[in-house]
Amino acid sequence: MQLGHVALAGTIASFAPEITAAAGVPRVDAWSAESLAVVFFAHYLPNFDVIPIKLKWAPDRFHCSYSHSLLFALAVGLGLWPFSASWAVLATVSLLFHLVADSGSSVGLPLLLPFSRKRFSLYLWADTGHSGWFAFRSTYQQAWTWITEGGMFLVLAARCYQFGVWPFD
Amino acid sequence: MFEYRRTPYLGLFFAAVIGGVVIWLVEAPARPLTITQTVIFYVLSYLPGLGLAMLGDPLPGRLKAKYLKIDFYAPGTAPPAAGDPDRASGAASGARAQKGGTV
Repeated sequence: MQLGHVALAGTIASFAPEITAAAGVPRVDAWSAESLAVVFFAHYLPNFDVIPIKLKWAPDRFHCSYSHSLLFALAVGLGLWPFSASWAVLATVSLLFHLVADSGSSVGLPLLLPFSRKRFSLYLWADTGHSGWFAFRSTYQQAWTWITEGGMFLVLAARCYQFGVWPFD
Repeated sequence: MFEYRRTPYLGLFFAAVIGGVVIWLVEAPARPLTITQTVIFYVLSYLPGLGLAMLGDPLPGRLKAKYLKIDFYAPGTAPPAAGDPDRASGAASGARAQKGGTV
């Protein structure tokens, strides 16, 4: 998933009050600066593994490895917990939804790293690389990326309507 | 991007269906959608609608099958020229997930 992550992160941020309430931690308002910052940062955090690849510090295979595991999501949550329980919960949920969003990619997610290298995938679309114009273009030549990512933008629009946010104000 | 000329038009039909369902689900009687807002929903519905239409088009499926045969993470794999995945130098059937299981 590429552009769809934006819509998904925005949607998660819209559910921040429900998520924090369900976890029993201090409430965070929907689409507040706090919820948007935490959710967007955590949601995109797994894809920051492209940075060491671009800097030639890691091979291409580093993408979608440790940063896309359940243990990473848990570690980020535990790391944030001493600072803010709400941030920890929102970040963990955002990270888990990043994994769900990427589950359709053929590259597969090593969810159980470092205990198992087994990769899990729904094979909805073929992965064509971690970055670059070709990866972007070829992703959107496939049907399921339009269905899933377009669907996410539709859900985000529905949330905008429910909150009376522009252009639904 | 499409083999059939009908695909984008079929997407319009699916968009109407999806948009209608979404509006039916979310529209509050006390706050009816304006024409502009309805159009926005319809335009956004075209994104998944087009995807559904693409499922019936052979070209996206063929491209997916070709891309699945290329390991884009193999060292030294150059991205193929636009629209020409056959030119990639990656190992065939190298999609990494094929080594693991599926859910």
